Amino acid sequence: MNKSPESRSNETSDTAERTSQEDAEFDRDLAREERVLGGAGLADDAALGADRDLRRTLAQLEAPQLPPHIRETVLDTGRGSRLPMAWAAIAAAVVLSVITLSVADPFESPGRPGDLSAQDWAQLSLAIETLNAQGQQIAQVTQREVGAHLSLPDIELPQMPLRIDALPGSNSFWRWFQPSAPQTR
Amino acid sequence: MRQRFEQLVDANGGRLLQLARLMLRSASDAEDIVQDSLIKLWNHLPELEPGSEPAWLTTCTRNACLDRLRAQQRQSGLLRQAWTVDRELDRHIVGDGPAAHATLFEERRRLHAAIRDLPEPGRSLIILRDIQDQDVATVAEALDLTPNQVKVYTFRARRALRKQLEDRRHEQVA
Repeated sequence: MNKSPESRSNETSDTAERTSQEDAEFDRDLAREERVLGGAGLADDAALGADRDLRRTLAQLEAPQLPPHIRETVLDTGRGSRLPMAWAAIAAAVVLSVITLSVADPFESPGRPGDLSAQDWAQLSLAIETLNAQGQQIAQVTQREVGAHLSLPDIELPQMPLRIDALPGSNSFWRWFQPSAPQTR
Repeated sequence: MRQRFEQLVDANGGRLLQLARLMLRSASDAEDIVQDSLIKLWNHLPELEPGSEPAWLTTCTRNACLDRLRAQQRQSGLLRQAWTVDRELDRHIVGDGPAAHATLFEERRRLHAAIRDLPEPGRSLIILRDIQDQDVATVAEALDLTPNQVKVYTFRARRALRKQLEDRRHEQVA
């Protein structure tokens, strides 16, 4: 059954009345709580005096001490949990360096630059570019995720991406290959 | 950061344990929850504004207690709590004191039971405002209420608690 506009109007007026009544109770209770917290002038109101006495009784309940075994467990977790993240960042940097060096080491392959075909050169260039891009991405992600939490003073994470560009192997690599590049192309 | 964490653990550990013990019947559950909350604090510490940690810890611990209570209600119902678990809590509250403390022990046991029976948010408000005397702003932040709501709901919860204690006393006399 649909409600008539009148009943809806009555409902609205009921709600308004109830809300106003609730507001009045809210304000009244707020004033009472202020009096209990103030603690003065409660002699004329036995109920508020009893409220204040209960509040005083409750305030006498002392908080327990945190048991030592819980404290130790919590602090041990705090001590240990950051360290693996720092080591993960270091490990990522080391792995990246090793991969780059192993690919870029000029002494690894005895072949001459002139022996490279255009296809070899293209594949090698692509591999190097991919490695470089992925390495930088890893470093950036690692820096973003771990850098904020790192408290080890000797680690300069913000410089990690720059260090990748400055890896010793990459210079030798490019110096070794670049003169032959125009010829092979 | 580690020093700040240790300070927070020492400053808040006891009161969090009190909050959890007054909300739950099992003292070991309370300890588990406090331990978890403090470990979570360590994980979230870099994101937290200095000064906001006490309210954050209160919210975290209270929510975990409420989750635990809901799970217990689902499993067996609040009325079927084991008496031995209650005894365990009592032992933690008062300690294994001599017989001379029997009256105090009984009064506190009754008070704790009455607090635990209060509905939320009244129970948390009584613990945080009246027992732990935390300021209105911190409690309002922790419980997501306005400062005036904190005051009014605390007043009403205290009234309900007083009535409950009086009823129990009358029942005992009768």
